[in-house]
Amino acid sequence: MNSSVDASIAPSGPGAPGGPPSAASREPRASSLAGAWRRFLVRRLVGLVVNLALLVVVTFVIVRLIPGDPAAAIAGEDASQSQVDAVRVELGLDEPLPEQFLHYVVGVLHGDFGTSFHYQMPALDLVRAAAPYTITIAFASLVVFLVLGLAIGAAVGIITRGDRHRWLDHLFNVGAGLVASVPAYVQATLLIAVFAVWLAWLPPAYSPAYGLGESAVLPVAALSLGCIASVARITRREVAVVLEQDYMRSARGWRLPSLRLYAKHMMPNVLTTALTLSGIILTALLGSALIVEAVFAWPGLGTTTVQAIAQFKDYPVIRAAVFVIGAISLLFTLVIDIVLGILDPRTLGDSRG
Amino acid sequence: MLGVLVVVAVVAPLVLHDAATGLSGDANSGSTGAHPLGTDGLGRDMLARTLVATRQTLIAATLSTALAAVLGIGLGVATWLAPRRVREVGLRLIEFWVSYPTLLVAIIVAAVLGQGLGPAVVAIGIANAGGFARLTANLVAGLAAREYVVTARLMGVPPGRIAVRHLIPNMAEPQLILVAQAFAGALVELSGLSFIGLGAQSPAFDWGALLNEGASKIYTNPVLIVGPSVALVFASLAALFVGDGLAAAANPRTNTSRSRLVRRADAAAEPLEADVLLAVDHLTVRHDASGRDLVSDVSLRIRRGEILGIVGESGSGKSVTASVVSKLLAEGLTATAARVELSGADLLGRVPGPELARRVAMVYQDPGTALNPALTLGNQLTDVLTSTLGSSRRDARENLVGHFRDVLLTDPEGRMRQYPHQLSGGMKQRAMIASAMSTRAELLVADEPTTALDVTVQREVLGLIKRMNTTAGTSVLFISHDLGVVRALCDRVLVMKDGRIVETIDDVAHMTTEAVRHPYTRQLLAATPVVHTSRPEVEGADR
Amino acid sequence: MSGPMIDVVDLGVSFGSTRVLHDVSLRLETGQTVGVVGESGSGKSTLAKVLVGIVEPDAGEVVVANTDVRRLGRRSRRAAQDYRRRVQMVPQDPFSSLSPRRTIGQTLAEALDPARASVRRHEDRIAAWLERVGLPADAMGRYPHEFSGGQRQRVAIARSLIVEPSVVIADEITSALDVSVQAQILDLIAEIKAGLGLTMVFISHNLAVVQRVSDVVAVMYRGEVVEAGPVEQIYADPRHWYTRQLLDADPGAPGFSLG
Repeated sequence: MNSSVDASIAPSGPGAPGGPPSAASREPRASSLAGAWRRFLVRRLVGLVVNLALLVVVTFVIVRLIPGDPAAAIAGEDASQSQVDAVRVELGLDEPLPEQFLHYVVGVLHGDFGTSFHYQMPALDLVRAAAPYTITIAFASLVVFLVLGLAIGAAVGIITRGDRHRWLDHLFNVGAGLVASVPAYVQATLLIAVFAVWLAWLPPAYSPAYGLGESAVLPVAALSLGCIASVARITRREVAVVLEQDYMRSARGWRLPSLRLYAKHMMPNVLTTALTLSGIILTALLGSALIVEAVFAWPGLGTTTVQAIAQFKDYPVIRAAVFVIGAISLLFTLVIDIVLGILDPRTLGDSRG
Repeated sequence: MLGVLVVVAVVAPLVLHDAATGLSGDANSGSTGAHPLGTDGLGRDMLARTLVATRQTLIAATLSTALAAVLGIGLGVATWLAPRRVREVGLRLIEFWVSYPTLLVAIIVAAVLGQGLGPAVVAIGIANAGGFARLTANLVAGLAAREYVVTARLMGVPPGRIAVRHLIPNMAEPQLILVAQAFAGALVELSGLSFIGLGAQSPAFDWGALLNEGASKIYTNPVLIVGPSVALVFASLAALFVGDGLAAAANPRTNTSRSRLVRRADAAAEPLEADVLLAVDHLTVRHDASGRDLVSDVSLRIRRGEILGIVGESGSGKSVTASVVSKLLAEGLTATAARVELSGADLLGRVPGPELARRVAMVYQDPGTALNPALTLGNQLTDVLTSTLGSSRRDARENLVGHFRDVLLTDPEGRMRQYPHQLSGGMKQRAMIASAMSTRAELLVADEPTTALDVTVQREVLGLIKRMNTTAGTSVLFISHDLGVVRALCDRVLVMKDGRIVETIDDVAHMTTEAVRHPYTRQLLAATPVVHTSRPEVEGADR
Repeated sequence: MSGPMIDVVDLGVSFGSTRVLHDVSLRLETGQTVGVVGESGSGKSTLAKVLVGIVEPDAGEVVVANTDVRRLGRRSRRAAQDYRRRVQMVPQDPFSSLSPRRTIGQTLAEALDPARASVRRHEDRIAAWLERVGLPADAMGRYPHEFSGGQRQRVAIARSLIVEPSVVIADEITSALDVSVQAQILDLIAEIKAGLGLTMVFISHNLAVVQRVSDVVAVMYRGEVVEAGPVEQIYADPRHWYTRQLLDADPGAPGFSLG
């Protein structure tokens, strides 16, 4: 039996990374907050660039994947051969594949997604004109659903803790479940029926004749109602989980007043999870925005995209719109993660994104 | 609810096919006796059309959910089976996939495949597969680290068989829940595609297409939207309840009620001696749901300046007893006692928060979870001083920093600004003890405070508790499963088993298998591993 | 067979820039048990993983049962599998080490026959081993959740012994158990060891537990073996300050004081 009796102490960091995560997380992490932020931002920026690059590939592939001869399919059944050829040249489909891709990438880097078949203007300009409308209602909905969802969820969670007031629990489950599960475009249609047709309080669709704010009320309501219910459900469940935690027992052990107990010791921990999931809800919201816009004839990205696909087969516009929607989605998610990082520095270490 | 839908889907097309597609004389009719939900532009009955569309909609949603599940689960498992590089790329792509709105992905796929219900089914299927792939990849990553999977791999079980035997059976529940959610999603999204004209094309129709038709005539004939709206709401709710039901079955929530402290009617409490700090008489704690007694008829006394130990194994009721003393009984438990009195305060009645905080402080088993991860140490540990005991913010900080110094935390001011995850377990436990010292409580309740710590750190923490006892005169109720630890620290020891005190040991120093009376104590003593040394300087010690 | 069963010379392991093991040497004869003690972060679990071949060493020699562990990955798959059957690990947590959806019989059959895992074919052997670890033979048809932690640990022990390995590595196998259950498992280990002449590496943070089952002991601190030798010698006359500190920290030890 050999022994290396040597008291020199080698610098030894946290335990074996191969071990169970619980053991690893118990080890102290000697990282400064600034360092964590730097690593977080670098990682997220790299992730952003990678995702944008993937978006370029996906938007390129959209056209290539059309079965048969894409040019013929795009030009339509009753197009003449010269029209088909024009489409072929416009999309660069006459070139070899690698060159097509190269041209496409160079074009995208210069902000050039090609010229809209239908409107005969740069596709990106069309999309750029529509984007603010979508961002406006999406952002307004984000604020509304976060504030109301968190408030309602937290209130119900606290009131029903430990199975108090079961009737409220049941009422909330059914009510929020109903609102959360009805698709946004159905809610949009119903909102129009009630507030525009029946009560005639608000305009049923976008029109320059009304103010932007006035016509945005119903779209924002249609988008955020379901999200409010989802966020409230998540928050309510998370409140129940957090209230069971050991550190809440510690806080009760300090006999803190209720307000301080819930606002200071419970809420930050609820927010972490609720906001993380809100990122996912936001993604879904952007998706339903595409359809809800169509209901309200809202001149945003959704209407633009849907028209480009369903009516005009306007591929340069589709490419530009998909790219911009993807980019907006990425940016919103990044913003949520930054907010999360400020609220709870631990999330900076997560490998998401 | 799902049953109703299935019946409608099967029966309606058989019975109502003609009514749904047959033209009648009155086009664009409102709600009438013959057509309660009106008729469309060609005079087709909306109620019949809605009911007939059920089959189309449900089949499409089922198909696309099945496609999503098969594709996603397959991909998720495949990424695990693949070599490391491929796996990294695969996981990255799945992340990319799910980071976009399902509907956007579906719209892209629809843009490629063209319009129609078939392409829409494929589009939604592909879009939802990302979610399944991610869930599967996450579950597999968690399961693959489980020891039984690692062991199976070491045994030489082929990877394919590990997937079939160990991975897939163990992720059935979350997958089922996701299937229900994805089905609800697919219903909504498919109809959504139809609604904007990318799904079912005339003459085919589903709910989305019908709703679109109705919405376009919302001013002239609003009743047209009722049928498809109600149908969509009904179907989404059905899927939601199925999903919730599955989720509830997977994670049964125990029905708890509030904790209660009840005074026993036959309370004939004898007067206390002057130096008794804590008196508990005939304490019984019942678990409301099962009716089982966790603690039966426990009585104990702690004198001022005394350290009382309670030892027992898991389920002995020692921690529950401690939670009654600290007035933090868990919900769902009912405690009955003739007396629980701490320094003259009747804990069976209402005691104001500040008074309680001044009398009793706690240190818990797992320092990793007992501190709030979202708040700095200074911020959370001074709270009891400022908001409960009314100190000024500055006094509280000075007080706590001083006690951080007492428990030998290096850089006490710096520690105040740190988050719990930046400290080791031993440091966190020292911070908790410092906090307990800062309130100058008369009683410290310490529930297994060293179980999660290394032995050398355990010794330091035990030393701190002992010092708190000797210098500040704090009495201690010390809960532990380790007779060795209790013997080293406590003045008196209670041995608990199955909720009862089986033996009280007053002479802790001479606690040997011969000296103890109860067989369980003897068994516990024999089972407690003790280091045997024959070091010269300790020859002749008591064993 | 010639030479020691386990021969580790100057073993080094790093994860990224972190050195987890450093100049670790260990030699164990057939039929002996070495107790490896140390606190969290000492590298004792990593050592176990090197011995079973999950973690690859960066430096040094590791020869177990006449097989060079370092070349395991580069040799044929078959040789690697053969090695892994001869060196068995009993995991720490009795709750995560058994698949919840498979019966005890299926779990044991899988150990015997990884590809087919047929219970019927090996029924007699499974029954014999269950009885050997103190469980009834009809436990075969039941699922892990029907058993207590101690009973599950018995199943885990049976699973690693049923393939008749040359070396068993036990990583903190009693740390999740109550003391009286721990005592029963330690008795079982001692009994089986005596019966089979097993070579064993017993890893624990508890000096007293190690003392109960080991012939030799190695004390680890921050990735190094700071002291090693026969149990009687180390416990009676520790040379290294850290060993003394560990011994004195044991609440039952004579050197223990709360000063």
